[in-house]
Amino acid sequence: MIVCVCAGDAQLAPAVQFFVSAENTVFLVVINGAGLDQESIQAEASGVPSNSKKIARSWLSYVSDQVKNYRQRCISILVATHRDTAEKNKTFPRDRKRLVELCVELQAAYPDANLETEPLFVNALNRKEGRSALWSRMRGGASWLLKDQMVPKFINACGDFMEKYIEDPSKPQWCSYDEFVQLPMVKDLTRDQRSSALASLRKMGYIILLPNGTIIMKPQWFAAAASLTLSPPPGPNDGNVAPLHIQTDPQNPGFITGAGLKKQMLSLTADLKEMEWSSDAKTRDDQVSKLVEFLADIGIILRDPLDQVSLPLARERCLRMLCNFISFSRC
Amino acid sequence: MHAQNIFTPTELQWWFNLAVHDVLSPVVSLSRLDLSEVKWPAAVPAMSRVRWLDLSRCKLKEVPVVLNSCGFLSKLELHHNPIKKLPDWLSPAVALPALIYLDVSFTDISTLPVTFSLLATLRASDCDGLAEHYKIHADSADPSKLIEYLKGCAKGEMQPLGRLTGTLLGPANVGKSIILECLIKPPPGLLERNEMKEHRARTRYPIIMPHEHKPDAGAAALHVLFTDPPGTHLWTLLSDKAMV
Repeated sequence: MIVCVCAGDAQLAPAVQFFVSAENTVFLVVINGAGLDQESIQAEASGVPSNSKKIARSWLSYVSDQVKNYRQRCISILVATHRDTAEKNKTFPRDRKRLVELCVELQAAYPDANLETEPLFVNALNRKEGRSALWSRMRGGASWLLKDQMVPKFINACGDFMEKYIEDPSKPQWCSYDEFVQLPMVKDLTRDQRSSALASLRKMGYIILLPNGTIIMKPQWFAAAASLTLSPPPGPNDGNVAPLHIQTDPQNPGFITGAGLKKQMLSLTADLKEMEWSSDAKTRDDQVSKLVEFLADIGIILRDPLDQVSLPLARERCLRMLCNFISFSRC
Repeated sequence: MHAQNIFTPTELQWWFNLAVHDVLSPVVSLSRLDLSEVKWPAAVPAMSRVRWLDLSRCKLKEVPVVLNSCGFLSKLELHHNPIKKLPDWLSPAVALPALIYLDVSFTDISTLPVTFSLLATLRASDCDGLAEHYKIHADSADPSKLIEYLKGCAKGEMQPLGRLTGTLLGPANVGKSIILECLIKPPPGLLERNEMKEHRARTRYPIIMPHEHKPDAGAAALHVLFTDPPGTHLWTLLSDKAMV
């Protein structure tokens, strides 16, 4: 979990931002709908907005900024969860009424977020009605966003290829541009088509381009690793889940040796299938070294001449650097 | 050839009312004239003689329909206007057979029809919303790149995009991961449990997952790249200045 210590543009988990600037996006802004009416009554009495309202406003404000800055096409849908609890507590009709009012208010306040007028109140545990309601709205949003968006066949073929590639643990997590153009989906394309394919895949979030030219072919792998270096110590919401937090030198907070960082990265993520660590020790060592190199390339970690790695002394600064990199890389 | 420059709404009305034989020049510029509120007549006789038309920086949100009567129009400047969509007739293949030059740079368009490959020159640089596969060529230093790419597209098959990103945003422990699981799992079979498990491990790092949704009714599949980041702690959101 990444906690931003500073309000404002660094408020989000940085990896979210890999995708908020994607070309066509449906944002599901999720709040707890059970007890919304009671929460609103208390908020009105105290004169302070309810937590649900603050949360939704905070995210929609962020989405609006992204949409304005990057001219992306998006639809936002307000999704309230815990419908079953509201029904059990017999507050559903009142909670729903409040939800609709909240949605209308948010829609007027954040026109750039393109919030749909009708909110969703779902029991997401229900695989039949919950699923059907969610997909119905997703498809509605997609149909509006993708209307008239025609692409050459090879763009869709590249997307299909990447969907399979991402899920294949035998495929490398990164490659160079020269290796990329030798991939089966790309090698028969013209030079112009290759440029278009690379740009489209990057914009759609299937790949990440690093400043040094490396192409990250498995964003999930990279996002998990980037989170690792930014995660704070365990928090009250973590429950029994093992925290992904790197311990730095107690005598020199924020600093850790390169070898120490690699060792902790390997031990903390040994059970994460997304990391796809090799069973061969030598290969695994190469993998983690490359990962550290990539993270340094985007400024998440800083190397000193003695090869001591600095984890963010100020996480806020680091988050800003990552946000800037991501924004730059998608523009 | 002298251009006829129109600077004011009065001059524009005068030009609208010109008879064909009164037209002074086939090169007409309305550049920088605010046309956002102009009611275009159904027919403008002078249009039929226009060969070059400059409508740049006119605050146009749509291309005026009356342009489809410009049978001799060969050069059209539409750059620096908040136009979101180009009409289907705006093409040498449809209503403007003489059109060879089109500039739609600095507009809000998101796509380009492949029939623009029939143009000799097409400019579409700095259109921030333009689909990335076009934009990479539209913003190229080589001005012929875009038209070459479009010619390639015209030779091949074009398809609906059918791909987008789905991003879940919200505080920790609100049910984002359950929503994602609900979306990607198939509906329950006849004897399967309808309810999913409520308690689950907290998301520790962003989940990024492609999913192909195939609806029952034979509609086209939708490819969604889902992103489910760890929820932001409530106190972080509540201390945010952006909430105001």
